[in-house]
Amino acid sequence: MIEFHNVTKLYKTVIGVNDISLKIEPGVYGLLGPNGSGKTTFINLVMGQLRPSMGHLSVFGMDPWQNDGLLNRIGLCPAIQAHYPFISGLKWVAYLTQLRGFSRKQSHQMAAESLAVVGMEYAMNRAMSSYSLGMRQRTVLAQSIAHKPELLILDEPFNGLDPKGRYEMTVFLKSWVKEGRSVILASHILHEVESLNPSLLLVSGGRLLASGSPQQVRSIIANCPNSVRVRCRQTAELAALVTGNFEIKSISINSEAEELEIESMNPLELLKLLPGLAMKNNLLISELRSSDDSLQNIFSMLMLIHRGGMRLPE
Amino acid sequence: MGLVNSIFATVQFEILRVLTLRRLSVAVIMALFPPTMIFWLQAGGALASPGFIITLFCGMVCLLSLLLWSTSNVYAELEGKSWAFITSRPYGRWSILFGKFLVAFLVSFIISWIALSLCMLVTGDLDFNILNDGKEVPKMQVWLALSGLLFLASMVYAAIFSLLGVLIQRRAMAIAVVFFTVVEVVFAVIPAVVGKFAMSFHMFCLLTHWVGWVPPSAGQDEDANEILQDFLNVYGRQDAWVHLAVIFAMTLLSLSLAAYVICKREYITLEDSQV
Repeated sequence: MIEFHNVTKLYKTVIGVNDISLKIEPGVYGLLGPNGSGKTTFINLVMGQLRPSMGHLSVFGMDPWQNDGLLNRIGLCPAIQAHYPFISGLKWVAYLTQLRGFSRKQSHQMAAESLAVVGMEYAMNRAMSSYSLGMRQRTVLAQSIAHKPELLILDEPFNGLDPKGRYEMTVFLKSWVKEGRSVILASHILHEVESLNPSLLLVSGGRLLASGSPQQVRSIIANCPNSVRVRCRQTAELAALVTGNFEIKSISINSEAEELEIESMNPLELLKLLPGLAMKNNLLISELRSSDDSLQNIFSMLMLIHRGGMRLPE
Repeated sequence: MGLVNSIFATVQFEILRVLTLRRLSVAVIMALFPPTMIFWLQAGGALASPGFIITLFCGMVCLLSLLLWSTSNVYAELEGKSWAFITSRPYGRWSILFGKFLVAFLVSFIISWIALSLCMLVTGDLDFNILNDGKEVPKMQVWLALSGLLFLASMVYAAIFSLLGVLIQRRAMAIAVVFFTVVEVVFAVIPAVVGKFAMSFHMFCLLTHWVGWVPPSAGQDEDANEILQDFLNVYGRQDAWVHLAVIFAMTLLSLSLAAYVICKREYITLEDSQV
């Protein structure tokens, strides 16, 4: 469906994407990366709005650079809120559908249908200025699916949605995927995309750092050097146990908070074995968690590994 | 068919966007400015040459409206963050260019034409002192000729400013003002071939064809006719259709260039460049 061959995009001296090569077959993909990692550039390249500075890419077997023929096969839900005073959601979606070449009547019908799909039927004749953030997000989604594209690209679709809205968005995307359509979902939050069980593409600094199923990515993350926080009353005894049994970089004891922070070279092994070892030694652990679980830290580590500054433990 | 349909969809959508209190107020103020000034000057007895003053004021209104509507064709979408929605459609870029051109053209013509018509009403039976071959030109003919010129000016400058808007985003309006001053004001009065590049020159020639000379001040009809003769001797006498053809050709050329640029250019938003 999508092929990148050593694609680099430069904005003068700023690198948008850096030497990306990948092949995406039809399916569900999560494009994960921190803010400013190159996700939007990746999407704009796929949409043919940007031309690669180096390398080449194809979408549905064609060069996407300003290839208007491709655009009706793709639906784009950008990470942008639409805001037009006095214009209803229905009129806006119908207008954007007309720009795809459909007649006025067809566009109105398609717009009304897509707004109903995203649960905006009740408010579609209201001015968009009266919409909440979540309603606008759903209207933006409606404009991307009105023409029933083969590939739906969503850029941070969960932004601004409340828990109910997030749930509804997930339900919608699951049903969309069930119909056999492809989805690329760009996000900086792992668990948002995980529910769709996608193949993950991890990007940072414009580079593709890792790819695979959520389980594979989680195992990569778990095997990265990481900090682990352990809450235990007998902090000194636990610290002694840890230093004697695990390969660690550092350990700090906070007696007042009854907490240990362990910087481990192999956090997965530590998380697996420490509870059993503590039990054997009659030490009661009340909490065990990874402290560096933000995506930004994970990406920083992956970037370090990618540059050869760090090696993954075997 | 799809392209035509999408252009008209853009025209319709843009007109819907116009119907806000703020934009309507601006349009009303612009349409009322020339007749108010004419009324005020007339009441004060300072309206020396009504034909010239009306042409000047209505032309200014037309130009101002075009600057507001045409030059921001791409920038308004980039700034309003609607560019991604439009360009992800097969006819998006085309329809934004041609749809906005049509709206700028229509809105500017309507505003300036209303202003012109109100000016004609305000002046009542006032003598315009416009002579053609020594005969007084009827007021209705002046109104028709100026309406025609406003139509042509709205069309050609909407196209030129649309091209500038496509080429330059951030300071398109300022560049358009500089362009107008240099090309349409300075070039137009240079008695050389360069003057013919100015659309204002061709419109002036059309005005002389249609109604004769609009004198810059009253009571100088004979001098004015002399100036006109000198002017025509320097520039040569061409039929009206030649000037009309130049204006239409310039409109087509500007729109074609703008269409090429808007379709081939990478428009990078601030968000894009921050990756």
